[in-house]
Amino acid sequence: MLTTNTALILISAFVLVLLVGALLSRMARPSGDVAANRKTVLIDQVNELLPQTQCAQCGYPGCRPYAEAIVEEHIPINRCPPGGKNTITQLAALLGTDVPALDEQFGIFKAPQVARILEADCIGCTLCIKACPVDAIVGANKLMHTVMEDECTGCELCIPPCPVDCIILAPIDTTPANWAWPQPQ
Amino acid sequence: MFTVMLALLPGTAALAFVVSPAILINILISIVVALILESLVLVLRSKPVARSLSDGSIVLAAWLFALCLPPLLPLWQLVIGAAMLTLLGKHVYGGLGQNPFNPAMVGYAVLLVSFPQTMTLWFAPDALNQYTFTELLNFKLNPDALNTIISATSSTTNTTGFDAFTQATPLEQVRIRRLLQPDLLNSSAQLPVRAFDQVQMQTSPQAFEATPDGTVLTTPVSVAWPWVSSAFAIGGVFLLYKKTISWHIPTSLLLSMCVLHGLHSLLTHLPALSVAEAVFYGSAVYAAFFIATDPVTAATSQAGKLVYGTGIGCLIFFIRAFGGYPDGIAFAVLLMNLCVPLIDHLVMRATCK
Amino acid sequence: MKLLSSLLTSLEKQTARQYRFRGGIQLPGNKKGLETPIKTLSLPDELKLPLLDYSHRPLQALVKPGDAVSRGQWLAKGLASPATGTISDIQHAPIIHPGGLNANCIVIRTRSDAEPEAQAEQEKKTGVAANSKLTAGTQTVTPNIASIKGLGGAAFPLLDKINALGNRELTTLIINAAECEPQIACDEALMQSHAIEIVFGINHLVALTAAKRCIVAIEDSKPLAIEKMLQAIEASNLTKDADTNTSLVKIELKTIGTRYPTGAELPLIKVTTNLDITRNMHPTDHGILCVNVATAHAVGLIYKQQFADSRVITIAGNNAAKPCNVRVRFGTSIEHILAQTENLAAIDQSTIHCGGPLSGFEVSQIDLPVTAQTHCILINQRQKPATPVACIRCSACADSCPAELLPQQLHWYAQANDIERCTELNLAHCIECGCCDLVCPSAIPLTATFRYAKSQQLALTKQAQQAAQAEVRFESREKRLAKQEEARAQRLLKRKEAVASNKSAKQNTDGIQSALARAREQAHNRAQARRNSKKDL
Repeated sequence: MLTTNTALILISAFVLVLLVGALLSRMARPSGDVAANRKTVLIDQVNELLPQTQCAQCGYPGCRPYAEAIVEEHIPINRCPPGGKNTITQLAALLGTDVPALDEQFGIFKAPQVARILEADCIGCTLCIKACPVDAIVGANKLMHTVMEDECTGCELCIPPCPVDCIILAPIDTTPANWAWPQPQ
Repeated sequence: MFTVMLALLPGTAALAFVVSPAILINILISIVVALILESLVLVLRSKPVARSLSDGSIVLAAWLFALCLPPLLPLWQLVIGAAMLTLLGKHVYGGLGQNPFNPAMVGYAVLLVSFPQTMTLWFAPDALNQYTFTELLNFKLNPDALNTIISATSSTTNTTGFDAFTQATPLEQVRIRRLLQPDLLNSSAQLPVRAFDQVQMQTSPQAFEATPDGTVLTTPVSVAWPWVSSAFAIGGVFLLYKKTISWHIPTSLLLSMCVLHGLHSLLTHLPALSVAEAVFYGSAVYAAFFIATDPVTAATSQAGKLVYGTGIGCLIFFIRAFGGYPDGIAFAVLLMNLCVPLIDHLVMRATCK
Repeated sequence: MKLLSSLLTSLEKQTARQYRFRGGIQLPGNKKGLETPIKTLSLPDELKLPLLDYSHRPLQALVKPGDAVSRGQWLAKGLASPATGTISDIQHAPIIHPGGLNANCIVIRTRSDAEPEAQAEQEKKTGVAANSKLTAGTQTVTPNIASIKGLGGAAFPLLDKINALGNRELTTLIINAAECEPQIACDEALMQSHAIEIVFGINHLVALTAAKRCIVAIEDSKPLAIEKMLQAIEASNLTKDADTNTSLVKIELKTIGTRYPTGAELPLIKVTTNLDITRNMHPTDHGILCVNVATAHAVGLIYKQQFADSRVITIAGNNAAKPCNVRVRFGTSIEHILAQTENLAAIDQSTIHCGGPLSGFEVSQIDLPVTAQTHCILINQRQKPATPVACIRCSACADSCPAELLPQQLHWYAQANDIERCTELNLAHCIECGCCDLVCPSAIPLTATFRYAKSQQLALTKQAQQAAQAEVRFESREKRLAKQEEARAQRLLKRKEAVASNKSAKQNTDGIQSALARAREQAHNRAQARRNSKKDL
């Protein structure tokens, strides 16, 4: 049998706990600015993990737009073919989600490659220059164009506009400068 | 691995000579059981059997395990221990190099907590000399035969027969005598007293009474054990000389243990081990050179090894002085095995700044 | 005063403590072929020079096929022609490389009859007299200094190394004569036979860098080399004593313990000066420069109006018929060297290993041109590599690591491709000395794994750089497009405004109408007037 006193104490303790809880949860909730700031930081982090190929295969015009879509609209993280499994794993680790397989309807993973112009065939139409997302093609109207291989991300966006099909994608050559030691068995 | 086996020979020989050749049966059987089980596991895991067995790691683990066992441990318990060593100690973690706990100590600890009575059944040095090898084997296969003999000896001699035949190890004697102190008996709840201890105390209380000259140990066993410890120490020094083990773990282990035991014997009014007794009457030397130095389960860096060895030394002392077991090697090593990842991590962080 | 100082130095020598670096291992030297003098090979008919710098970046050729070149002429930046002749081709040819890769090579058809002529030309061109008095810091840099590459194995250009000092004072110049790796003996042979020339080169190097202290460090396993060097150094120091005007410091010779890899830069600094170079610092930050003894000899050659386009190579290995040390021109093919040294016989049953037994690698053919990096060619018996077993965490690798790394942890992460963790564990500081491989009881290929991880690390860094660059370019393009779009929009807006203003002009049509009305009125009036005049007539 509870005495009135004990009941009172219990009730007041309960109320006190509720109050403290409410206060704490109020303190824990980020204010609007902080939440927005956190979002931009997260977008930056996601963007940093994306390969910056700017290939738009994900359906967004570039890597940052896709990063924004991932953070703000919760678009799936498995739409980046050039990043492949590695990027997906890292994104999943960052966002604390499962690791999905690459959604192949957006493209398949390929080894790094660069675009090369078959210079004999180039008619100098400048269409590929306009298509290149990183300005890696130089040339002028009616003059032969060429790809700066160091800048090329291998995004393939220059291939469809070429009217004479003179752009090919080739795997990056192994040279003494970029050769890597093999992994021992 | 093979150097370590070579270094184990003097200690093994001393143990077989002082205690009983039955020790050799233990070693042989546990090696065979462990080898069979290891092969089985390797086949199941589709790993190259011959190559994995030839590194000798499982033979060594089984040997080290068997050296801790009392000579007449029933065979089925021995098999269980060896199985635990191989499966629980080694292969559930992925085999050689992956196990966090010393396999030999895992096997020993499982047996010690499962069969405390048989695991503490040691014998007076000469007690088993009258039996032939086949008879000893028979005792191991058929524990009842052993019990018959023990009770027969007790009844015929009408003295402390049980004690004349079976005998606690020196450390066990010290511990029980500590428990028998009047002020402690009154509040025996303070210390964990196992049922088996009480049985022993009741059957032969006089064995645990203080001798007139005040020394703790008077039985022949007190002469025998230092021989065994010294033999192991010879093997250990050989390992140090061959640079198979580094000095860090044995030194820090023995040093910390000696310091604590020394302080304890100075400060307490209860019977306590002197430093020399602490080193030579238990398996401290054996543990310092052969158990704690297992590279797989020890800390890797030199600083880490010092911490690891010191930790084991301290834990051995605390278990002996205040714990429920006379000799705390297995639990001290296993507890410090638990700490190894932390030690390694902290040392790594300190060195990789 | 002088007596006192010499007494002090001798006292210092007596009490000089042997410093030790952490880690490392004792290895049998196994250096054969030192009893024979260094052979100089005949000039081969063809020399092939890879158009690559020390870190394998491509070089731009300054010559084209068909050009005649003279010895010492620049073929590319930092690459001097090792012989007079004609460029027969610039071709993609196999080079000494662990991956067996090809690179662009300049092929020179040599003219051995032009050798004396080239020498005379060189003496005419470089005006520095051979025995001109040296003063610290005033030595002019002759252009040929730029052709000197480090001959210790990395082939880092000497000038770049000196320039890395910037305007810091060079407190200690260490001449690295340790040569700690087993089987290599080219520096030892050089010191035994050319000590005076080496000391001549060292003095010029001291003058060039204005070093405050100069130490020659030799391992105690080379007594004859120490003896010869000591004689040469003492003779040089005596002339310095005699010349009161000289500001050149005396050369000190320090005998160091034989322990691999004491010839690596940081261990060497530790054993000679007891200085620990902290991580992410460079020896030049402490005013220390390490130069290989053969490089110092090359400096001497340059100041004697000769050429620094050859090096001494050790031919050794358990299948070598005649282990020896030979001086070869850069660009000579291994095949030519082996043929000239009578070592070609056992090639079929052997593997050819370029570089030291620990730091080098195997090559699959022998038609490869040697470079400044090639200090050793080993002809070894073919043998099966040991099968690695599980790591037992014995930490012998960590104990032997001279870079104070944790090879065991590194190996775990490298195997799992966790390059980020490897970077945290200072993978970049691994000097790939191979100590951990030698001490590992489980025969784990640690160094190979670290080399792999380091390549991955490099690739990742490059990839990140490229990604960052691509991002910048993408964003600037977006901005530019946006600007263009805006400009276009504005143009459109302006045009619209113009049209709109036209419309407002049209709205003022009353004027026109009224003008028309006025015109009609005028016409009407005129017609009326005509009619009236007709009536008047």
